[in-house]
Amino acid sequence: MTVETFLGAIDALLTFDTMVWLLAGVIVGIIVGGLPGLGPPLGMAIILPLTIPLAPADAIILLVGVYSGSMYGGSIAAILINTPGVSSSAATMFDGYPMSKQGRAATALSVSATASAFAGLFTITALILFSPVLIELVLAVGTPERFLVALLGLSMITVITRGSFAKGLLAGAAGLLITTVGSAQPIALERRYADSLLLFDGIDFVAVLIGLFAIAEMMKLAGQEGGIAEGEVTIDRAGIKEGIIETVKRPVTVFKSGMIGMVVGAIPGAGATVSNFVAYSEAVRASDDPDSFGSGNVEGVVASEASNNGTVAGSLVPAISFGIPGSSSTAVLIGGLLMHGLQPGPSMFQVGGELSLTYTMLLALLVGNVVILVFGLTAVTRLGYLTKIDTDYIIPMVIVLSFLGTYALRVNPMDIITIIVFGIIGFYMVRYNYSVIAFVLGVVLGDIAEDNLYTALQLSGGTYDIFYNPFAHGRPLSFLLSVAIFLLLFGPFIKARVERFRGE
Amino acid sequence: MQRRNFIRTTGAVGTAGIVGLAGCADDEPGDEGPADDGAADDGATDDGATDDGNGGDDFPTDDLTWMVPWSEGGGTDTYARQVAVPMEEPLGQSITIDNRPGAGSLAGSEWLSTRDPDGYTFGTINSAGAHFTWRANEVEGWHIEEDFDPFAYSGVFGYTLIVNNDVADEYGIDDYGSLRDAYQDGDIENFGYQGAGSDSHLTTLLLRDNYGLEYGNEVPYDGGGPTMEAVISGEVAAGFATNTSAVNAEESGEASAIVNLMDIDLTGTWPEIDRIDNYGDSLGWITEFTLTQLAPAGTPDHIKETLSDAVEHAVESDSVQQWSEDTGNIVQYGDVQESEDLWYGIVEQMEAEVDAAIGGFDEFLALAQE
Repeated sequence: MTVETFLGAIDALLTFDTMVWLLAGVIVGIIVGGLPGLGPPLGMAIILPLTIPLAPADAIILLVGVYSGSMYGGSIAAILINTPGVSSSAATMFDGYPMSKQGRAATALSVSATASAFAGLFTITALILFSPVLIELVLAVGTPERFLVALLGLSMITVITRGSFAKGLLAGAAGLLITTVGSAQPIALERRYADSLLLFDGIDFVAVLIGLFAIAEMMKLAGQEGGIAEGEVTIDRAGIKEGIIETVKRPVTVFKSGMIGMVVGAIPGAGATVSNFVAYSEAVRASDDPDSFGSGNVEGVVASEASNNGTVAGSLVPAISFGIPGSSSTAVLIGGLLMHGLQPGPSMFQVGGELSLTYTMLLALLVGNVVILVFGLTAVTRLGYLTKIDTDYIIPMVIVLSFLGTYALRVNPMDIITIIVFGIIGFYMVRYNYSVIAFVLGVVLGDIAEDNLYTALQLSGGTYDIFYNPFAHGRPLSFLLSVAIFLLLFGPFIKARVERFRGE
Repeated sequence: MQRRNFIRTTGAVGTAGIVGLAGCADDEPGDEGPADDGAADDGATDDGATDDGNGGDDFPTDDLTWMVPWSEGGGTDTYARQVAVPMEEPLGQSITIDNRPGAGSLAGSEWLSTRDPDGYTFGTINSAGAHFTWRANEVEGWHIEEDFDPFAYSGVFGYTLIVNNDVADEYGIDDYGSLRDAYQDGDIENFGYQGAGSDSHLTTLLLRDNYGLEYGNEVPYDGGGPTMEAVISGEVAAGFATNTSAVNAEESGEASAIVNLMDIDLTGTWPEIDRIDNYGDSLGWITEFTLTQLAPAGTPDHIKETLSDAVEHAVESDSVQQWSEDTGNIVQYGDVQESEDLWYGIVEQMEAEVDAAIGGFDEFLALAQE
């Protein structure tokens, strides 16, 4: 009986030991996520061997606690020092950091904690209630759909580009070009300089992000007196309260972004970074004041942070229902399940199987989001004081942490060069008004688009109708995604024409 | 009860299944793969060289570094972490796992080849997968065989063929013969493998040319995880999965492992599984991977023996045996001689096999890039 199983899961969760592991996991996750470059996979992998003595439920709760906490923790560095703590917090920088510069770091951190927690709460609840639907979604999304999701993300360049449209397209194309370096696995093409193994896996996009944002910003700050905040820094209850209110006033953005995170997160191979940019771009598209994004619009922080925590719920679906690791984080989670004698599969959602453990894990994530909310509002917001510290101290710290964190990810010296090169490129892109966001979208989505385009065309025998003809290959979702891309690209022109026609 | 037994006897495969899976997830743009904690480990190597660089009898006198050329949480990493703890007891020193992922294990392998041959730094590289990757990528500057001294092996895994259950039910596919017939009859068309130019791509071509698998469309995926997902979702009718990943596929209820492409016996996990060598020569040289422990070339024999004895002690320890029993990971010890037999001459043998089957590596790579 499902209700009995659910009540049993609550009982299992509400024990002292389990709650301690959950708390420890979330807090460790927040710390790991907050360090530049490091992210959930590394945090979970370090914790993994330490879970061996634990009971299976406690071990899995500890791991998902780290996962969830890291997703939120990434926003801290993004907001305070313009560095993506995790790649899925990259979009948080666009408006979170300008808020810090305005002396509103505490409000931004408060928005981040509230949006993350609310999105986490309702997406986990949705997963508990609608997991069968999401399982079907995972099976319905194949290679052509993944290409179209990437294309949808790239189409967002038209929405988020401010100023010269040509410069936006150029930046996006340059980002795509970066992803052509290295091996393209489905194609067996080697595209690297002098056959260096350092470039075998291409240019790491996390290093690109850290260079573009953290290093470029530190170069800019080097010429600035005082702290990061250009005005008075306010860390008081009013600022924190403002963050909560600003988030609560945007239920549609929280809901929509959380759902984008959940759905995109459920697609193996897409991941939190993609959902992060898609949700942010959608917030820009839907806004009445799109020009205010990038200069401290709270809505941007809400959208970004709601989406990445929503991704946690979505990514669990392919991982625990099919054993498909959609990302490195869930690969480590599956490793944890197996290490403790649990086999991912439908039995994880069946009463006679491991449903009790699944419920316990999901309920733990619910409680974990409450921990994020409380810890985020009470402790993390105090970190806003960092923006008052003189840049003479901040700059070397950020640079050292950025290099260390990025190097630790792959232990590849090429990433050090990448940070430096893209730090300089980012600095000049901002100076000459080239869209850094468009560039990043190209870098994040290029690999997904290329690999899946090639494989999809292999599936269709080389014909492109697999992307738009719902009858030829039985892929209605491809057709719908193609329509969405068409509307995104041409909707504004069509709308203007229609309005002009009506006006006449 | 039956399901639980299935998990206990096979699951491992489980964790190592993640060999393929985590390795594949590494490149996923949303979350870059986890990495390493061992940047400082070089210190142990250097110290070791000082303390025992001439192969003194007191080896080891300092901590050791175990290089794993894949990410944390992957199958090879999980094996290493299980074995490392009981290995510390006979050695009397602690062992630090140093993950150096990248370039399909070539990055970590290259790094290991440049360490001092003092026994303080060793690693796990999977034969013959690494031999194939090294040869296929025409790596220059170091040699996959000559630059290493194998001293033990600790486990084995490899490829199986999995088929989508709906497809299997519709066309009565339950062994290699019926799978081959379904492709020949045109009932099914797509066959998935793990990346153009990979060992599974070569195996795909061999299955077509030498074992009659007349698929209409060979579809490359970005690694093991996506290939398994494609079979589970029915995007392709059948494809490759390591025996470890195949357990996940089977447990999903959407796919089944029907053919063992390796030489090792998998009937403990799948009593009814068919074997490819029922239909032709063994494919073990390209489909079976041995977790081989290696030290840089020139490591003194007595140090290799010491390390090998420690691996044997660890593999036979209660904790590793229990882990193997619980998860189904195949744990197997091989001594210095046995590991050398599985390490040297493999590239030459592979070249001969590829020459005979495809016409040579150049021809294979040209096919991969078509």
